[in-house]
Amino acid sequence: MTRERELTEAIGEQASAAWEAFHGAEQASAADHREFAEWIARSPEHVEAYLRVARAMATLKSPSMVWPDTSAEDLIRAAKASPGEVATLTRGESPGIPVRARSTRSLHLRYAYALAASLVLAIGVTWFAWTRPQQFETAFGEQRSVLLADGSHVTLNTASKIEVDLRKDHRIIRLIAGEALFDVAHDPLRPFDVYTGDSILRAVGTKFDVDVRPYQTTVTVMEGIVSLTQGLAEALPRGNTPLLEASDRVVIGPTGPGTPEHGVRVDSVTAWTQRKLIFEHRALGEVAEEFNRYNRGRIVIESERLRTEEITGVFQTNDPVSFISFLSEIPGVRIRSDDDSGYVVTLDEAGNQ
Amino acid sequence: MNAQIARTACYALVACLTVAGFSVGTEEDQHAAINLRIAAQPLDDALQEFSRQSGVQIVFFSNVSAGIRSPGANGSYTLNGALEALLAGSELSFRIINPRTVQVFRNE
Repeated sequence: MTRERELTEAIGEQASAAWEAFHGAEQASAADHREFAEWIARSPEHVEAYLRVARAMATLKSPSMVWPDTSAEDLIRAAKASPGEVATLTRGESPGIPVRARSTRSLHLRYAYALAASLVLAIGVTWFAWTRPQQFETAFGEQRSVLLADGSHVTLNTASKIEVDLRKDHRIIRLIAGEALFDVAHDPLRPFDVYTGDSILRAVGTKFDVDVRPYQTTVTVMEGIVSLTQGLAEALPRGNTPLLEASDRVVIGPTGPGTPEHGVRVDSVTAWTQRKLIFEHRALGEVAEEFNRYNRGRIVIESERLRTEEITGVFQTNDPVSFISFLSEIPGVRIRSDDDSGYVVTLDEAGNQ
Repeated sequence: MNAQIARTACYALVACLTVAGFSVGTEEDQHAAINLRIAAQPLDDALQEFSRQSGVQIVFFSNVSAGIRSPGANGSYTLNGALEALLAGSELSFRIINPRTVQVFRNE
């Protein structure tokens, strides 16, 4: 946090504390009044801050509202010119009740101060949220599309979580869990990095999918180029980092990245964004696990032989029943339900072929 | 008055067409027309394209389609008709698992 931001936040906190003192507490003491007067008088920034907060709280119901019709500068000048009035601000009256103020001007000022305090609080909270890394996550079975402030587009798959940290000279997305498809907006001044596990994926105006599983992470590039570095340092990629191009896929295991595959069919990788699963020569065990990412009723294939059979096909992510129907047609296969609305699939191998 | 009637008729027509357009996806009606535009190509790709165009799920053991080309399909088909067209010339059969899912297999 820069010094300037620290100050703004500090003043904001003070302003809302002042607001609280006057509108939150049951009884503001004379000491509160004095403290507030001293704080307000200390700097025009304090007055401005309090004016803003008070406005946001919108407690001003007086028909002859002064602010924002009067500029902040004029109000500040008025406040500074008459510190005596500020010091005798009385509280306890709510805006709707007619108030016998010492003068019309001090009544208006009081309301203006109330508004300012409210707005500072609102600004403080919003600013606080904007400048912290933002997190986005999906529940089990949920998918979500997020448009980032830089124009990039991230689609989150089931049970996924990212943290977005867009800085002045760097865009960092931490893929904490699950799978996300990144469609990166071109910005030559700010590299776009995805951090996952021990890897840093740097995008050069690209579209790529990153799928984090317990045992491995798979990166597939749809368009553009992605460089892959290992290690958590925020270093720029060096000369020999592997560059992944469109239709390349690399699997990063516990020992690091494998050899990239080329010519991958990218529509099967992004089929999930249309709630579809496209399998090409995939083992049945893996297919079952894919369905299990999207459906609570887990499919468990107990037969090792059945698990390794390869299939090709296209399914909706939310239709495991059709997949189970397909399995049940295989000679020798038995399907039973388990207690959690899942399915256990066994193969009667004793001479039923 | 006429304009109102015409407008209502239009809405009704659109509603009917919309319902008709969705009918392929319903559970009950596997005789509804599926419009296809699939070029001749390897069977794996043809079947994937069929799924994309029709919304019907497709599944088969991978070795079943090895080396087989499909003549493709162009026009309006029932579900049965579409599979027959795509598998024409091969010795493969198909089984309708449910109105939205088809399996292709080899007759042993």
